[in-house]
Amino acid sequence: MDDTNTISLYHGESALTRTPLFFTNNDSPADKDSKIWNAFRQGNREALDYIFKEHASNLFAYGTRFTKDQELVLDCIQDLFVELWNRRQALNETKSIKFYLLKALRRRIARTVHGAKRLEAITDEVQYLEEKMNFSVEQLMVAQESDQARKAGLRRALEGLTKRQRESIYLKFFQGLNNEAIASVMNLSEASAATLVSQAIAALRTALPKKS
Amino acid sequence: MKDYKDYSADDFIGDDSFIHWVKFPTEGGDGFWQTFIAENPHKREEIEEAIRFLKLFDDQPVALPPEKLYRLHQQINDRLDVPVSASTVHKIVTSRSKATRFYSYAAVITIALLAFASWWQFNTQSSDGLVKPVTVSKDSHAVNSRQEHVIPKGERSLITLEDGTQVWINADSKLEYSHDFLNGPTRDVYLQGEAYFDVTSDKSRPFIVHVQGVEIKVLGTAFNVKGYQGEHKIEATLVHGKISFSGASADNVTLAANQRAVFLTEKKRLLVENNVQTDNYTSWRKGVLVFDDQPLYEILPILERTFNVTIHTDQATSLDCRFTASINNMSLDEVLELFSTSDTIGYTILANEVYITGSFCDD
Repeated sequence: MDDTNTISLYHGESALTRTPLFFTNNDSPADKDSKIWNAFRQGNREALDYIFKEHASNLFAYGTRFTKDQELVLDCIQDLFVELWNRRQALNETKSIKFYLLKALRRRIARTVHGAKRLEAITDEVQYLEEKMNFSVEQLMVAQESDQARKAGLRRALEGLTKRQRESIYLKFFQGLNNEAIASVMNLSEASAATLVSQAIAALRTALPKKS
Repeated sequence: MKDYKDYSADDFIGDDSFIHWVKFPTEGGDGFWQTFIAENPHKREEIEEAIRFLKLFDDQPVALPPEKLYRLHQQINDRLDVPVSASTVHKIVTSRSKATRFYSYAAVITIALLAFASWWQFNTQSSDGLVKPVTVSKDSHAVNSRQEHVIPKGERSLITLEDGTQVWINADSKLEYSHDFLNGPTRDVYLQGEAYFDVTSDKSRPFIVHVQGVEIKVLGTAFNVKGYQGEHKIEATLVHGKISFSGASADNVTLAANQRAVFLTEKKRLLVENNVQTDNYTSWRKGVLVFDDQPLYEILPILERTFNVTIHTDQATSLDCRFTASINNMSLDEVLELFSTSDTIGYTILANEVYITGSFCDD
């Protein structure tokens, strides 16, 4: 704890303090995220544990869309948490921890996979690296569809999307991000993100005609 | 408010609120869409079409097994437990030129680490040849011309070696050394577990602590070493003097005084903490346990060793609960009482087994 506890040394009385968490179950998701994030920024290790448990599996699921190298994704997640902690006092506020982490992990994987040498890559460079990332279509579909023809049609349609369209659809349908968040994660303008999403939906809908 | 009454199936499919309702039903929602459907029966077909489309996509992510998730969490905690200040060398330096730069500092600890490949070689050698499993015994005795001191759980011990060096050995630890300890070119001891050394100075014959495949080389100094099997890390806390932490490599980093070094054996990563309260790491000699914002999964093994018990908890999740504590020569019963007044837990002690019920950090 940076702000509250001081340890009593051994020559003093025996003492015990527990590190508390800073939100209640009545908070809205945005308020809860805000509070947990602020506790994290103030150096609360339980906030870090909480964030890890809430998001690590999902970050892994997202990261493994970009590369088959699972150890690389695990290393990136590890480095991400350590770096966030070490830079915690300089972090901005956020109302969506999930979005914040997805964005940070994406950049980290881009740098790691494509070997950016400099730690502080300029935005254009990151964008260039991200262009090269391949968002995998594997396992991105298709459930509860008994009609094999529809299934095959949808799969072809997904494969026909650009990788950016696929990722925008993934972020929208599976991560529940809005266009603004998608734009931020993917380093796009909000208008471009909206276009990507609507083009992707249109292409998929065309490939999968309305059921008669 | 959007006018959903004019929406087509395509419009619904692209609507964030609608997507959330279909794809994240567990997140609740305010019942808006149920009401909307009830009040707008003419939209039913479009909505069902949109739902059907969205449900076609089913995420089957690469699963992260719980044990890998747990290791990842521990690795992060291990790294964070040693905060590294910006001015400190914080990784294994692999180039010679960087290393020599740091030699110029006065009053330093030199930490030399072997390169990745040679690490394993050395590690293998040491586990095959140097530290053999031996029978547990309370008192020191000779085994194959080696002297050994085995301290069981629940005890600690102070011994004086033939050169006058004093060693406090913590619970569940073993110290071994050869009979020609006094006659060789170096004074070698082999440690499993935790010990505090106050080494008698003899510049002609360095004192070397071998722990989990690492060598800590000493001229004359006082320092604490901790390296339990299965804990994936080796810690050395220097009270005063000079030590070097090495394997067989020429790679070096150099550190200032009053520091604690932690070597993470899995990641081959060396971390250094500045300005540590060395008392926190050495007070066990006096029967005092100090915990600084540490999780229960680190605290409980220490209590188990100190009190020679096995602690069972029924809430695995609460093991992340963190405590700051200093426990001054208390009995096990008093320690558990301290924890149970802080949290709504109960406990039962049956011989060497402790059963904790209820959960920590349950606000």
